[in-house]
Amino acid sequence: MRALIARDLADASLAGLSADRRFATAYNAALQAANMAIACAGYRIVSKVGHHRVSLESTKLVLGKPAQKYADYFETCRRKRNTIDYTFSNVATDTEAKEILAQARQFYVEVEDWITKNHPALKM
Amino acid sequence: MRKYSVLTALFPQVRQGVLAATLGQPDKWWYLSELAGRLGTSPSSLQRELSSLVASGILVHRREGTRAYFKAQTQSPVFRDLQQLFEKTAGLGPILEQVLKPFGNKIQSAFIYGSVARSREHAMSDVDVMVIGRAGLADLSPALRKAEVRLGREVNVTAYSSEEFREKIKSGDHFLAAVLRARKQFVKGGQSDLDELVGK
Repeated sequence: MRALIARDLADASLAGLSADRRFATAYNAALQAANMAIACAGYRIVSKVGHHRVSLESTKLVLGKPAQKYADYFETCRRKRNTIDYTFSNVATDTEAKEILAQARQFYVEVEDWITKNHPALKM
Repeated sequence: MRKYSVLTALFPQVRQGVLAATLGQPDKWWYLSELAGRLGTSPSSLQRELSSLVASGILVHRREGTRAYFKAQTQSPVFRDLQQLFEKTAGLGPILEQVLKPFGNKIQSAFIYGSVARSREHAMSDVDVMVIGRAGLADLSPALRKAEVRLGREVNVTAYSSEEFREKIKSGDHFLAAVLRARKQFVKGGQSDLDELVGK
């Protein structure tokens, strides 16, 4: 999962990609970071309709209050990413693509910190 | 002196809530417990208000089995007047203005666009909002969640930094050109602020 997150964070930084693709890729990195925290806590989100929303909501239970702001933010991004992947092009702005990359990086750092503190056997 | 809002001076709280919900989404049939959930009250506490609003022709109701549904009577001669009153005081614009206000100068311009701004929305239309300035989606998301709960519909924000907005306008971005040509409902600033931002 760490390799997958690293790949997506790197790809989401590629200036040659559209803002839509950078946005969706950074979103995926954040989603996988959420799933990694959930897995470390001993759970797995089943891949069904709405599983992204469940993953993002569950991070609040796993990581506690500090995850609230990320859960709200990535929930907003989840809806935008759905539009990007299934409905329209030119949905994300450059401003939004840069922001989600910064937020996904920050969120991933917090997840790793949480793992180090709470599940040291699984730390990087 | 204690200040009351216009609506508080005119209507008791439960009636305000019922009217704000039904007039805000006039095509929607509200199931009793759904309406109660939206207002944070019990279905039984709504019964009397709903009965008098139906009796006065402001709402209509229908039954499906044991379920009662309510919606705004859009044929009522006072429908449009009431709807305008609620739009001005408790509708989309005022609620969004309220949730965006704490961001102050971080937002240079914000407006509703799309089907809602053109008054072509249906009951489940999302609200499209464009926000230009230094407030990103991360800043705005918690406030937007609250607005969505109050409005009972999704609010989708497109955020631009002022620099990106100007650059896109200059390069003739089709999406932005179409948005700027179409009808807008400002929730922060006005047309002159937007013109200034664009450099007109």
